[in-house]
Amino acid sequence: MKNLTRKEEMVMLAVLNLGKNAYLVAITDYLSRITGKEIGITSIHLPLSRLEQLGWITAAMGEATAVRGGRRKKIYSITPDGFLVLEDFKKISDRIWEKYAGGRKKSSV
Amino acid sequence: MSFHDDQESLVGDFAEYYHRIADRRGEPAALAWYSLALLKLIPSYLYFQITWGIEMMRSTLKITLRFINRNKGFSFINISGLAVGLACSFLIFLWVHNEFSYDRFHENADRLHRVLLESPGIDGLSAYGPGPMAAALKNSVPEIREVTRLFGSVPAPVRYDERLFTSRVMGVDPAFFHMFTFPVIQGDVGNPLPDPQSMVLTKKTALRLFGTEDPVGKTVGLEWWGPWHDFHITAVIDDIPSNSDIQADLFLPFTFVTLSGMDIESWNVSGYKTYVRLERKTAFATVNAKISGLMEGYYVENAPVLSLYPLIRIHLHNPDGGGPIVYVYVFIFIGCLILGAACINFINLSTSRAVKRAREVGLRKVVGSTRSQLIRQFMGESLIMTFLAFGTALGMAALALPALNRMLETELAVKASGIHILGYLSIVLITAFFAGLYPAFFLASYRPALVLRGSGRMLSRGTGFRRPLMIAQFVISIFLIISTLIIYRQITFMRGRDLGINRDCVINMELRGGLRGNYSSIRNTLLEHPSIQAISTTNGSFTKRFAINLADWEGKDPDLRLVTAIHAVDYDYEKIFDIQMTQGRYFTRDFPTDASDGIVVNETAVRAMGLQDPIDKRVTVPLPFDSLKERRIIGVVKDYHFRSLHENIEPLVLVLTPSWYTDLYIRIHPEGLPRTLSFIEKTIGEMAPDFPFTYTFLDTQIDRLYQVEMKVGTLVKIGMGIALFIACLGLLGLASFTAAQRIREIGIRKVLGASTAEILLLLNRKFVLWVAVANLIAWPLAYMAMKSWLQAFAYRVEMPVGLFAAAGLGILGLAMLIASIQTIRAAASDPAKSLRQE
Repeated sequence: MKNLTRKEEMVMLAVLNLGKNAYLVAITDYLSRITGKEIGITSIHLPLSRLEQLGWITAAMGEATAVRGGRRKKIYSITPDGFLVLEDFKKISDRIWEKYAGGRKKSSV
Repeated sequence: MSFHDDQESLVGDFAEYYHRIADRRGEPAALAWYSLALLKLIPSYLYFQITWGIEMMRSTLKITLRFINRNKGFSFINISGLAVGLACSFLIFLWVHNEFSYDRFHENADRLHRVLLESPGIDGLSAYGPGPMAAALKNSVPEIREVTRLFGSVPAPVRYDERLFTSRVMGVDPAFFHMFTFPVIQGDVGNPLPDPQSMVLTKKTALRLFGTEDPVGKTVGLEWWGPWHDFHITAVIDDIPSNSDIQADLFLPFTFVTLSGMDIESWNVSGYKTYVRLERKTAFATVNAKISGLMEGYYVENAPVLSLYPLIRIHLHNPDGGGPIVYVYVFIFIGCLILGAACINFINLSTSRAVKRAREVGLRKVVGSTRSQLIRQFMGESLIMTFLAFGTALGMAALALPALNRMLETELAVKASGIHILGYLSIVLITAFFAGLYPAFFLASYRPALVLRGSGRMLSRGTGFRRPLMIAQFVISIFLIISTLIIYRQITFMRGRDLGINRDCVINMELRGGLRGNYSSIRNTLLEHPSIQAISTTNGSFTKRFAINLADWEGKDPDLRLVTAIHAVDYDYEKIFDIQMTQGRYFTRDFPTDASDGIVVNETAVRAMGLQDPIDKRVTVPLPFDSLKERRIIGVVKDYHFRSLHENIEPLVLVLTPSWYTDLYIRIHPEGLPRTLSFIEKTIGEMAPDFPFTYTFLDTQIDRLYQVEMKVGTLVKIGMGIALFIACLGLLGLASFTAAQRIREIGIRKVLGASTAEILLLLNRKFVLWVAVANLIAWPLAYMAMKSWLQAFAYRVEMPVGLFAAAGLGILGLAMLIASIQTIRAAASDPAKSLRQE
């Protein structure tokens, strides 16, 4: 089992879902929306870099916009290895959740 | 993905987010978030620096190790050359640090000073003053908080429980143990010397005398100028470290000096050092000014001028005789030279390898490495090599340390203290930086296209730098060779020079205890032995110094003041040393008035006194054990050396004054020397049982005068060896590289019919030129350096041209040998193979 924290997994999933828009600010917005909590870019920055170092995600430079002062965005994408890791996690989760997919039943004894 | 891209995107993200908050909540809120966010980034920034740094290091390490593996021979040469240079600098650094650390361990070190006297008419400062001076200073100057007088240290026989020892004795005032930090480990800490019969030992001495017994309270006998006196041990102090100017085994109250009849209250007798401790924050200059004329009130005439000299400067600068400070600077210089040579070597060899790495560099550039990345990698490589050399150097230094300590009589050790670590690291880092700088830039600036095409021609760019570097190494080596040759010439000269006395097979003993009391019967018994040729007593020795101020003589120029050396001699002194009389005669029993009335002077004294016809002239000679009396010159002796060859022969007066004798000399026939020595030991053991039998050969004593020079000589010799080693390594690398580079050319020439010898000549021509140039530079440098070193000697050797030429030719031969080894291999290679490579 790979050494991946929940936060990192979430970040990866965000990257997966955001596709061409997967840069730091968008990822942060996405995660804030999904979890309902206020997340700042400073808490995403480190996990993002670590994931890149591990090789689960890769980056390419994107467009520059005026609001960024003409600086380009760094767009992330999932690597094949990264996708396998996500799948692995999902498989394990599914196995654990099999019995409780329909909700929690009251135990009889 | 480069660092710059990362930076750009992050700053952009921040800008975007900032504007978003500004739009929603206004600028101040945005600014607040911005500042906070920056702070939050710090930990992740640090984390990344570290992980990225580690990654870089790991990859550089891998590349470097791979390089070393592939080029074992070259790497070994390079690293060991640098290691030797580093090891030398470490050792020199340790020694220099030790020299500077003398006397600094005292708590009050920066407030302790020695009092120096300058007497009118006498050149130079003296550390020896009269007894009452200390108290006078303390009472007159409030800024002087404590004073102590110091007598010694002087070796004296000590007796405990029927066993005899010789220990160094020092007399001190009670304030001594407050002023100087010599921790009391047993006995009364507050007052280690409470009464006139108390004695303090060092731990080592206590062990020697008492073994495991408790020394405090025990009684010990000390022989002082004849009779034995009892002292009781009141305290034991910790062993005195070797970097202390004050060295002794036993401490006695200063007043013990009076036991020999010396007057410590007289202003006319100077024989004691005085130390003061100043008030904290006192201006040194103020006190100096205050004490300078103080003696006017105590002397009728010719009052000495006083001055203070800081304790911590005494060892290095030694106010009454040259201290080792000059040598310290010399060694710092030599250390830098050797380190410089090693670094030059390292640079040389690193750039020499460039041709092999050119392809690697070209490839990497094509693949996308930036120049700065390459530079960083090469600097990292040089850093790793330097650290490997550093590790090796530490090992070498640790191994060499015991031998070095033995030779220099020091206690140097590799300590992990702050200044040591700082010193080592700074040396290493500076070396790594400079040694890596040139190769790094040089290698990183290659054009990929040129390089991949395989042309080896571009390397001629580097030659411009390599030439002066190699020549510099030769210069250093030649300089050191010449210096070594001259230093050893001077030393041999001093040791072998005819001193005007016969010094073979003469032994010297201190005249103490029963030896002194029973002298005449001992002498008669010894003279009965056929191998014993002459015995004499005197106070004239190479290690002691006595001087008097000649008051008056016939025909004296009233303005002339003359200080002469003085030896109290007996009738046999002439025979022992084989001195030659040039006029008149030596003392003889045939003329009984010689004892009370006669003096003998040397030729220099005659010249100094301005006497035309010295015989029978009357001279007033002041002696400490005899009142001021008029005597006649009965003879003039040919000048002979009674001091080291550092000094010119002084004017000398010989007089017959038995109470002033301190030493015994015996001349022995060389045949059967050991048997004669044991006979002497037996006789003296029987007739003077309280004399701890020990003797020294006069030759040894004289040799010891040149101890400093001998040590310097040895160290310069070692330095020379090391510089040569490093230069040879450099040349080896360079020659092998040149040969490898021109292998194609060699192949072609062979095919065209050149012989191996012709090729050798061609290739080595460059090196011959370099050696010649190096000689031209080194010769004047060496000449000037040695000329100024030789100034310290009143009697010096010459520096013949032949010596310089020999050094130059020697280096040339060595260089040819090394260069040829490499080129022969290349020249003998099969031209077909080398040409096929293209």
